[in-house]
Amino acid sequence: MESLHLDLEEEKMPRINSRASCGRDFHCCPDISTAIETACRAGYDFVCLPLVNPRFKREFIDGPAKNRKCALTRSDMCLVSQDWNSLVVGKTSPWLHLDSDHYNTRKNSELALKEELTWSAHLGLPAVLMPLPNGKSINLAQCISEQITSSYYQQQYWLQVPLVSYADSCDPVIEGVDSNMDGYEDTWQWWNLFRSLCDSNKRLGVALELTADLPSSEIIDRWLSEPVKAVIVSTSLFLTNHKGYPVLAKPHQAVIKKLFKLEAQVIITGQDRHPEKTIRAYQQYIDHLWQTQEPLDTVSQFAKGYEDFLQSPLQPLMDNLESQTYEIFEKDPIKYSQYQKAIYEALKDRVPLEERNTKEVVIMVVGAGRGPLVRAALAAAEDIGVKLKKLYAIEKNPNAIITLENIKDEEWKDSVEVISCDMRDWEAPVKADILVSELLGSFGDNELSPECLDGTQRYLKEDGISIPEQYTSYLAPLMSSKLYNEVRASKAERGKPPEAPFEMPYVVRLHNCATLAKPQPVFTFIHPNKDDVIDNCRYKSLEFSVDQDSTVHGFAGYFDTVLYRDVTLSIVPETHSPGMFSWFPIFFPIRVPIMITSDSIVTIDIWRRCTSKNVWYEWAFRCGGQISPIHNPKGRSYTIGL
Amino acid sequence: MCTIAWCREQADLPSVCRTKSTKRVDTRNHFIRRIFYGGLLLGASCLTGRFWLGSLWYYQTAESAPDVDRCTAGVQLEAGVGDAKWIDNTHVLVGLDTGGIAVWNLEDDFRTFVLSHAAVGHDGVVTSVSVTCDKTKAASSSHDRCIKLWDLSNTVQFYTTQAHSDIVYSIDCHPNESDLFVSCSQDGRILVWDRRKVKPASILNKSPLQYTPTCVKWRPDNPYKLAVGSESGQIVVLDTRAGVDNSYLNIAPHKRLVNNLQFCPNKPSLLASVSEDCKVVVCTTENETMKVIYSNTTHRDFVRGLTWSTESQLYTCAWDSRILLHDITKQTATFMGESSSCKLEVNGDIADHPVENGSGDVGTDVDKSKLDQCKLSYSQAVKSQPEMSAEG
Repeated sequence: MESLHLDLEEEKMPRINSRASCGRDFHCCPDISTAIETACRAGYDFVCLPLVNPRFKREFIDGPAKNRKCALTRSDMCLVSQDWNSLVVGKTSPWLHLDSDHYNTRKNSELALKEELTWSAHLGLPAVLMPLPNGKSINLAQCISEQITSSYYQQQYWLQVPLVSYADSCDPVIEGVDSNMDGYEDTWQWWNLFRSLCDSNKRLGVALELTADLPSSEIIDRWLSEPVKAVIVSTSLFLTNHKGYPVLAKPHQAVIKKLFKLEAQVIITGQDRHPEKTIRAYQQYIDHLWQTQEPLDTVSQFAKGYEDFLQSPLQPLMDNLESQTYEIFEKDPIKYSQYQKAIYEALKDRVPLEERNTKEVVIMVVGAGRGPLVRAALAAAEDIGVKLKKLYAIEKNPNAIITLENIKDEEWKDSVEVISCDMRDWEAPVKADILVSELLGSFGDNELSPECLDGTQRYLKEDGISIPEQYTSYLAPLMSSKLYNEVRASKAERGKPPEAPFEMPYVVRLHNCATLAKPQPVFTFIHPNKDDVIDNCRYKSLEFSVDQDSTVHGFAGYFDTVLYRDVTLSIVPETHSPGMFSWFPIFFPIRVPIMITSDSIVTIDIWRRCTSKNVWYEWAFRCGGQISPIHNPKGRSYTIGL
Repeated sequence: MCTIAWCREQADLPSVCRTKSTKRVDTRNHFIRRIFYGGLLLGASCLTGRFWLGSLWYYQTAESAPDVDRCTAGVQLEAGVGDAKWIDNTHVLVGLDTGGIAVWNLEDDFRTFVLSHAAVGHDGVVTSVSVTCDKTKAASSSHDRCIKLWDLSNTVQFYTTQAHSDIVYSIDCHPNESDLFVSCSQDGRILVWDRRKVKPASILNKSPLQYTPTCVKWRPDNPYKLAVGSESGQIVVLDTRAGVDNSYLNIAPHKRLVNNLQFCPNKPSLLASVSEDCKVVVCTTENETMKVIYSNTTHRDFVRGLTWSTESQLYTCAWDSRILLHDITKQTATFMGESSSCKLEVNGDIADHPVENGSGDVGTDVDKSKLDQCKLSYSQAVKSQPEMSAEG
């Protein structure tokens, strides 16, 4: 059974931006009105301006200059507050060095930064842009963290990080200094350090500076798991096409298009290098890139608005699904055609060609819902020309039974028998040749398909076929501060331990994240289960080798299933059934993110625990010296009811 | 309130034509000016207030500065001005906050500034400019981490490089080799450049300088020596030759970042420095040691600019909008442009001059009345065409 949770109150409307959001950066702003007017007239949506004149240094410690009497910067009355709120991203002064080795510089910078941030909050600027020019930002992190904690205004802080460090971008003009052969310094580490010190606060964002040289695609993809709010593009990166317009090289285009998926805004910085085409040409080009993005595939279209939106997995066994939920999943263009194909193949094997006119088979659809599998089965039988003795549609939801009975009256007539009953309790009058079910969740067995099918196989013939015949869950380590923050922001339900939000899996359309290693198979279930003693408890220990420095915020879960022979369904990224949208991945969080260095081994231990009443997962992580506690012991935070 | 200055001695008219720029803030109106004085070039920038503009002023007689009404020529610029240098007797090279440079010519017997050439170049504020010894080229440094070289005949940029990984604070062309210059940056490096080489830059061992270098200046009479000021107020004189022990010429006369340095052209053993500790210091570098021979804390704000007049006279300007004439021999400092109420201050160290409250300070009162006066005439100047000169 599918797992998209549609809570009407929280339902998100897809946000579709018809154009790119593009800002203009000014390093110097003699007249604020002119700056904003020229930028707006050239089609830009916002501007980045220095909060204070970049050369206006201040003294706070001692000496005569401490007593300077004049305004810090221009008046807030230069713009109406609505313009400050919507058009201006403030930039801190370039002379602030909060991590200077020298006390006076550090102290003055701290106090000046505070002054500027206070002013930006007073203005109500949506965001403040500040540079993160190297990996030395400990003291800056302390100041920003303090500011976040003490200020009530929900301002965002965008840290400007270059894709390639400024030292690595230097021209090779210095004697005895060769270009770095070991590759580039990892600027993501700068951000990771800063962000980690600030406890991954949601108000922190990255303004990624595009550089002439680009790092490897793995490193760029890792940025896709970060809250990239803006991408800063210098006019110096633009080439000139044959008509004289500014254009970007293919690799630069590719980075911007990737970041567009995170809804990153573009900031154009630097002087106008195509004066005959005016500064507008850069904005037009960025918008052109936006417009020429590849159209969304079916799944992305369907998932629009649900990106990184945490949902509790469905519990169709305990709860009855609603009409709307049935309707959405019945629209899946792939799933039911695969089922039909599987039933067709099963019938073909079950009834040899020479027996087609004589042999009759019994198909049972367990969990028939509003009947899509019944239709698939009838169509498959019709196609292959096998006569059905009876098709039983078993469903426990009394509301769905109403639908089924109606269709039977109007369409199916006597060929279908509708059974209103829990499949595990039903006493079948005959045994089935083929048992068809769709009880799978995003993690395969997480909607208790094993328990349900074990309860039904007693009315399957000894040599009968179960569709699906097997399914396997998968896990991969995931980096996503976004999801980590989403989990952290949710409150534990009454009666649950405070860590409960971190002790349950979530169904989520993974978007602002990076999987750090290839998914590995976890639990496999085969039906019918011929074991002497059936045990659906499982334990698995998986080792993942992660090849770059990163932070693990949890694990992404997927599944694939063999419906019959070579007819499969999959949501594992590498083998994902094209166009199928019924399942989003599942996310297992961890309470404390785990920092990992490249080429280290991350181990996940995961258990599937069962009692007669419910089923739950427990999990734990290990990497280097870091060991997480076992999450969700005894199902204290989350169980699936039988 | 705040003053910036640069200065450059005119080789042809050593005792008459001095240049210097000053940045000033009118505390009431929140603008800063840079002024140019009779023989004295001043630059001012508004660092706060509604418009962050700059201006250039020329005063035929130094005594008239910084009175706006008594300037010989003045011009308002499109943005703040970070540095300016004389190219020859009448041409001035200006580095702007826009990232551009401009060459202004003093015509009509020094009464009118006329723009010769201008160009945009840097993607950040220009921090310093310097003219080569043959006067045909110039170098500029900027917040954009780049160094650019310009042909002064048409301000066409013919070389640009990013060798530093952070803000470049200062650049200085060699006194007698047109292919040599030196730069220093927030990245902590001092680079000595020789454009004739395949790899033109080399890292200068800055020991015993601690912390970030903030300004560099070649010694005019020695092709290998240069002075460096730092973030912490330290000044060292380094030798660019490998193997020379640099450890002797090392002193820390300031408590804050050194803004600018200037060797006395007539007596290059004298090195003047100005700093954000509001102090003006002159050191001697004789006998392989550095010794402070003059120290003055009359300025009330960051001191930005300085120029030597004679071997015992030094002009400085600061963000307190005032210009001081220091007499090294007499150990005195005089406010310029305040002939009616010229104020003489005794020199001393910062410790002898505790921070003043301002109330009841004669100097402060005088300054305010003068600023009111400036405000009026400045407004008038703003109304006129930016290209036009204000005549004194």
